[in-house]
Amino acid sequence: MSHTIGKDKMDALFEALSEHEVYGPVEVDGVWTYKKLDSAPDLEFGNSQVPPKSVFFPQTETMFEFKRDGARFVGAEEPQRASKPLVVFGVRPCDAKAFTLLDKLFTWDYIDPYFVDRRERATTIALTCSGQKPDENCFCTSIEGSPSGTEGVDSLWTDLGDRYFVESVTEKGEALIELGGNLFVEAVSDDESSAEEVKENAVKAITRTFDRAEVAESLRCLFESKYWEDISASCIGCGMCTLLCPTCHCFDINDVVKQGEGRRERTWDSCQFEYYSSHASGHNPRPAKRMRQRNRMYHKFLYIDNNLGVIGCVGCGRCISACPVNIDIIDVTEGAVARACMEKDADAKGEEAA
Amino acid sequence: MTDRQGQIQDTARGWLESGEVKYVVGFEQGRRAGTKVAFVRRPEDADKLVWNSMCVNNLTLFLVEEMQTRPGRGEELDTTPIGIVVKPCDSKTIVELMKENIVARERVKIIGVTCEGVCDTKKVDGSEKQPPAVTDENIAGKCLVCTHHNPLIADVVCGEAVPETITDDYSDVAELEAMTPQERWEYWERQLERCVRCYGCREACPLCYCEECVFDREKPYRWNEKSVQLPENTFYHLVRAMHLAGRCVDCGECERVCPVDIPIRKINRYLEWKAKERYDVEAGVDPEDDSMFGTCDTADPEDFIW
Repeated sequence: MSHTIGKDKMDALFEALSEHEVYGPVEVDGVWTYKKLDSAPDLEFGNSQVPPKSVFFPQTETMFEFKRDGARFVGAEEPQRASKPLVVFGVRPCDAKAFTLLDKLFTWDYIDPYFVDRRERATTIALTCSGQKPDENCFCTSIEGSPSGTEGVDSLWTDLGDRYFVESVTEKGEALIELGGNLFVEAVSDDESSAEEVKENAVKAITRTFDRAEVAESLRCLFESKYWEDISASCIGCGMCTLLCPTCHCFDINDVVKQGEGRRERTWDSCQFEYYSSHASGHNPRPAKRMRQRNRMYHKFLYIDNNLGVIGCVGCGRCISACPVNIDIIDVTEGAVARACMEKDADAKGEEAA
Repeated sequence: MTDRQGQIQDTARGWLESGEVKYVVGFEQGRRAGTKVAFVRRPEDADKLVWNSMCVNNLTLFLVEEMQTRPGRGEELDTTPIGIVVKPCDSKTIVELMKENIVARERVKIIGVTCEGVCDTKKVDGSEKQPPAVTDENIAGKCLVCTHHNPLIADVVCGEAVPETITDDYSDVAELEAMTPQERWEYWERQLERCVRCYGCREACPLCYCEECVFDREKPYRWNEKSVQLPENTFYHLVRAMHLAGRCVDCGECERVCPVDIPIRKINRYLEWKAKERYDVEAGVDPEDDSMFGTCDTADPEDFIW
């Protein structure tokens, strides 16, 4: 059953969630990120610059703390975890879909207690794209996504002007309706058709398509190709495309020791940084930017697929919008397909000639 | 604009035909209104070079990359010059890089383009199909205070000379100076708190050319924690700023590339202002100038040390 909630009821809903940790999009000087909220969420936005993966997988996180005892470190203690249930407002469906990839990753060969704990406590409220989204770099529909997709979503909200149309996708979503009580009212059929229209318009607003049918196959035969040199020539080696990616999940672990106390901390890392792959010996197996760009593509479209059965892209378009030199993930992968065909033809001709 | 574009193409084509340069770094049309960095290696490809309001990148970054490329084992260093397309602000970078012995003049042939200003790409609608005309609304912030509309160093200058009409009074950073230390600290806390440490500002800066940055060093010890938190973020930006004092030419790349819109130019412009005021130093103007930190004068004012 679907419901609606008036935009004027958001303060009351926030009040009703007083026993919850509430997260949502927050704007500071025009930049949107997801933060813990101390008032009702503002959902009039496009999408955040930094994806909401930060709610479950913070950019910097203390894993445990310890003390120094002479030459030894002792007393490793995990920081106390919050036990409150958690609600995240205003997640775009592409970013919610990315949560399901992170779920697989963080429970794949080892259960990551930090991430899993937060995910289990959380109810994800997604927001159908409308207004500023989808924008010119969105392409979720080309990778089995949708601007009103429900993968990784507990409750899907659609903006109907003065109210949101609310669809409960999971039991957690239903529990939210129960908790909100009379703030939510049963939807009428007009609401349903209006929501349908918003959803259809969102799909129509997507202008970019991405044919990834042959991407994996093409990448397999391009490992040593000069192609990577060509596409990475203008790369400046910053980590924006990966740090802002909702599916990228690499992290670095460091001990931060100050006098008698210390903490072990993990921080987002990026395969685009030269030092990412540097060994303790000083040897770096991925010293050139062509190798790092290649790794990004291989990881997204081959390695994650092999390991988890999904690809590492949800079509949010952040890497395209943010890249300082306009490297475009669709152009790069589609270019790889064209290049693989070309190189195959050249090989075949070479063999004929021989 | 188109006139300049034709001159750029002709020059690049000529140099590539005669073999004077091994390749030319310039701009080509990107998707929709944006541009991409072009590496033109054959004379017949010179036609793809463009010149328009969206040619924002400072391409001298790739000149530094060329200068820092070492030959592979058994190979000889190819010192054939490269060609590069620069705006006047970018040309100042080359001057500065020459001062610091990073760029050898004989290894670069410069196509300087006179410039009336470029767009702030963040103010241009992403769905725009054609490069828009530069207007008061979309002009890049650096262009509003630009005092060099003509290249300071070039082998060929494309476009008519542009008269200089702007005097920079640094009023934008004077506003910051007028704040109380507490207000100023709060302002910067608010800005630096959201840094994601992608190091885009460092990577986009042609003057951040250290082959091993202090923030990547682990030995003998780590100067700055990897933690993406206010103290570490602040330390990173402060150290980077100090390393650019008296060197930054305000090409604006750091601020342009920042994915979370930190007003990095404000830091650098403050330093630029003070370098000018106190030591009469202007970066990127004359390759024969001494570097600010490389010279000592007992008459230098010391009133800021307390």
